[in-house]
Amino acid sequence: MMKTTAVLFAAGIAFALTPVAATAQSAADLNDLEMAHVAYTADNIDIRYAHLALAISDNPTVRAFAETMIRDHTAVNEQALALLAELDVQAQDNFLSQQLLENAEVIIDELSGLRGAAFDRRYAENELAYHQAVNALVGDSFIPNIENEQVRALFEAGLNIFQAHESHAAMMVESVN
Amino acid sequence: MVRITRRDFASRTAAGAVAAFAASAALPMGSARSHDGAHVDDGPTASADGPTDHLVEITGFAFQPARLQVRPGDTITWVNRDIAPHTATADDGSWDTGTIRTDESATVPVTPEMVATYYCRFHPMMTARIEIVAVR
Repeated sequence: MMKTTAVLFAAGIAFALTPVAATAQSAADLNDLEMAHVAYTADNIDIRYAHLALAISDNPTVRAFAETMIRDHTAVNEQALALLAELDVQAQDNFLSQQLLENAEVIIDELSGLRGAAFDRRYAENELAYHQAVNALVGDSFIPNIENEQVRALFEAGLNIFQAHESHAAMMVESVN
Repeated sequence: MVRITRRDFASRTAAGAVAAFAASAALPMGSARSHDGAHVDDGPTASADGPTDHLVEITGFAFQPARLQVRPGDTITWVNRDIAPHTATADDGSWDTGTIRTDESATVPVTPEMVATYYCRFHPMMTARIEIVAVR
């Protein structure tokens, strides 16, 4: 958990630790349906970043990456919704989903004010940091604590995809710097 | 990781030939040559000189096998076992499967001049190659 927290901070995902500590909320304590909500939210945030990149950037590398993010995260979300329907359950909103959304708003505001190479660099850096943070969260805090085997299998498949995205993002960071 | 697809293999009409070729593709080049291609014919449904459909699985963001021996006239079928969509695309773009979604497949014919190195257009770190070993 310490490692995850450190990575999240390093990524600029400013988790508000004080209120979290006050209510004893921890990522590792979320139930399967709450973790599913976090993952679904995280997917949709990256899709929003990608749409912003397609609206602003002219860089072919950045645009291709953004298109892949939309394609892959949409595919993962479709699988997640199918599994939730099969299990006849609904994802549950929670503190961590809310924190992710709040932080995403800040980053989207920042990205929206940038143009050209400045946007491309910031988008690339954020994609690398975001995937690093989410992968640490999923790998260290979520997967070891998931109870349902089908949910766990989907998270493992998702982590495999997002780790590939992390490598891809690292290539993009080098390309735009 | 690939095990869950075995039952899917069994449903393929050329399952035996695919399995035989998948095994032979794992052999070193020298070994394959010493058999003069005879290993290709070991499959129960493959004729002596008939074309073979080779199967490449895309799983865990990798093409498996990453190196595949083929002959002109054969076909290569890529099947996607990942959640993410993929492509198999020649490095120079001269051939391309197009988008292959989860549990879908796409087939490309093998030609003598076919560009051997390929990648996934969506995930460029995914690379593999084919080896055209003999003219039929």
